[in-house]
Amino acid sequence: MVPTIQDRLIAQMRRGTLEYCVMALLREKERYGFDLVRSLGEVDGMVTSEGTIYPLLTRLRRDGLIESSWSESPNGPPRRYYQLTPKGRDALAGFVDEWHRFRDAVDLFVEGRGERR
Amino acid sequence: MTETLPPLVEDYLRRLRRSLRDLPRGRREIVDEIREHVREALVVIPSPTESDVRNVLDRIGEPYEIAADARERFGMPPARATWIDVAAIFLVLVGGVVLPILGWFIGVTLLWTSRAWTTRDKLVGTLLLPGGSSCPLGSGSSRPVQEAAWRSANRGVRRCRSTASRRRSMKERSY
Repeated sequence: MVPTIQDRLIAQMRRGTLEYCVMALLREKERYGFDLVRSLGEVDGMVTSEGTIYPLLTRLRRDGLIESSWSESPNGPPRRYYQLTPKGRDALAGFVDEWHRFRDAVDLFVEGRGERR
Repeated sequence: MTETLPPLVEDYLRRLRRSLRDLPRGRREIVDEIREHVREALVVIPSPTESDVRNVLDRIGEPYEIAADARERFGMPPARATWIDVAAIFLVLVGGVVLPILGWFIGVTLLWTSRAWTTRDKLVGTLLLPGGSSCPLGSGSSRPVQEAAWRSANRGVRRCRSTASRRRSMKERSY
């Protein structure tokens, strides 16, 4: 099945916001990959392929928005735990402001309240 | 990290490593993290069956999907077979027939300048393919040319020499 332009736009929107959702999950506490994926997967429509989270984590780390450290795990090999950096915290705060403005603006139109009389 | 996982998983990780080969950095890290993800997902299942394993891998997604997503995340252009890749395969296979020695030589040069294959692939192409040059190419398919052409090429060699181990052909079939 070939995705339509609409499908692709929705997918792009989801992809673009996903990295901030990952950062938001790290706002309160550090987490390891599997834990992050599980939390994202609990919400319908957020992640289609779980594996795509890992390249995303690698890129966020490369951009200095998150960092990682190894911790012992109760069962199995040590785990890589991800934390939000100060830079990541700023980026997330910036996104949240922008997101609220954007969300309110879109709501205004899609709910039909933006029309001039 | 080196704990053995079911062959299905090892094969998956091998395909993943291959799909991610042209990421600038972090390929190893991504593969290690996904290996760990699979381990975590399987550890909670008392004695995972093959369908349990497949289920876990399905949720993670096909290697090419993950690679395509990763390319976008890293701001890289999507992977495409260039005319050089196609020409390289063609010339390495039958270049020697069309233009003795020189044709094959040009093919090998193109093969080594292409970014579509790993060094190991290039070595295989250089050392083994002249022997396969009289084999017909395997049937074409709609998969991306660089993948399909290479597999056809590998199949060609195998058909001629029949020395390929069973393990390798098993791996090939699972693609």
